[in-house]
Amino acid sequence: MSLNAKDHLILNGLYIESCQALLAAYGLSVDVQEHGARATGRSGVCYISVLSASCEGISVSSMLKIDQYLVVSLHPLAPADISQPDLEDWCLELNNQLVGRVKNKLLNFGRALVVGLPVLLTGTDVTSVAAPNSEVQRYSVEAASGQIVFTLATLVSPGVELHEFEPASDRQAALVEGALALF
Amino acid sequence: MKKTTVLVVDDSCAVRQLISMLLVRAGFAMAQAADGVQGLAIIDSQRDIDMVICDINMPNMNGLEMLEKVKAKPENKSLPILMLTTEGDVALVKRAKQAGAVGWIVKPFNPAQLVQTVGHLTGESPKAP
Repeated sequence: MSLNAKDHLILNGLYIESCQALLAAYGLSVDVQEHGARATGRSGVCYISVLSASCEGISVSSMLKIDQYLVVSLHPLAPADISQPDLEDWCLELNNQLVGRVKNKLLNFGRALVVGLPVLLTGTDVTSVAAPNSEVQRYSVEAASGQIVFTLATLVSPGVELHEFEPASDRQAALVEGALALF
Repeated sequence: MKKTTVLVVDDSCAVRQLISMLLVRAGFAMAQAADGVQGLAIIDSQRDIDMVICDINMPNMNGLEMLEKVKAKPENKSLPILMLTTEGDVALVKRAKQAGAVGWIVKPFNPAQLVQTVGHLTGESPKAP
């Protein structure tokens, strides 16, 4: 058990909530489950996007491994209008929106992640690899059109503790997804 | 009659395509850029841009930097720039407001709301879908 077990649990909780919200936003209302150690995944074409973010004392890396047909079904355009580069691009954007949600949730803990730019891996039987020393958790969703595996790797420095602000705090909460503010 | 032209600046091709499809259907003309550098170049060279929709996290130049560079030029003071991003950090929202952005939407966006907002900000009545 890590010295920062509670913080890793918090980060994973925020990540799972964000995964579910992301999928729901694109029409897939499912429970995100822990990806069992014996789960082997599928062998078709898939895409992996990797996106890292960090702030003082905390580093996270999110990896999405998505079967090709599931990327198609999550894409906002009609399948006939989607090209191969569009699928790659959408895999990156999904991870961007996922980590964006995690960032917004972490703001309520007083932590402002700086988010990098997502990178893409593609091929068959691609296995995601996390950095050494990271706490790694995998989650997955099985849908009719394929599987998505979310991998969260977290590094939390000793001495860092996450505490959520009280709802009554005078600190302004982050804007939530879909929010519109006109100035 | 010249159509109202909206520039969408986003490194995601899918997001650019989706926004373009929605706004073209609503009667707008579109221009696209994949990062702040391209966006700035289009605004500088193509004087008929009537509104900008801009992401934040992009390679080469992010959306806030682009916003600040665009608004530093007096001729762009009245150009409406709407930020469309996954970011919900109020500190960034305040920075954008101070720099002259007209609004902020957190992704994923509601398509009908986006079209309505673009219509409101450009003074144009969007065509019904």
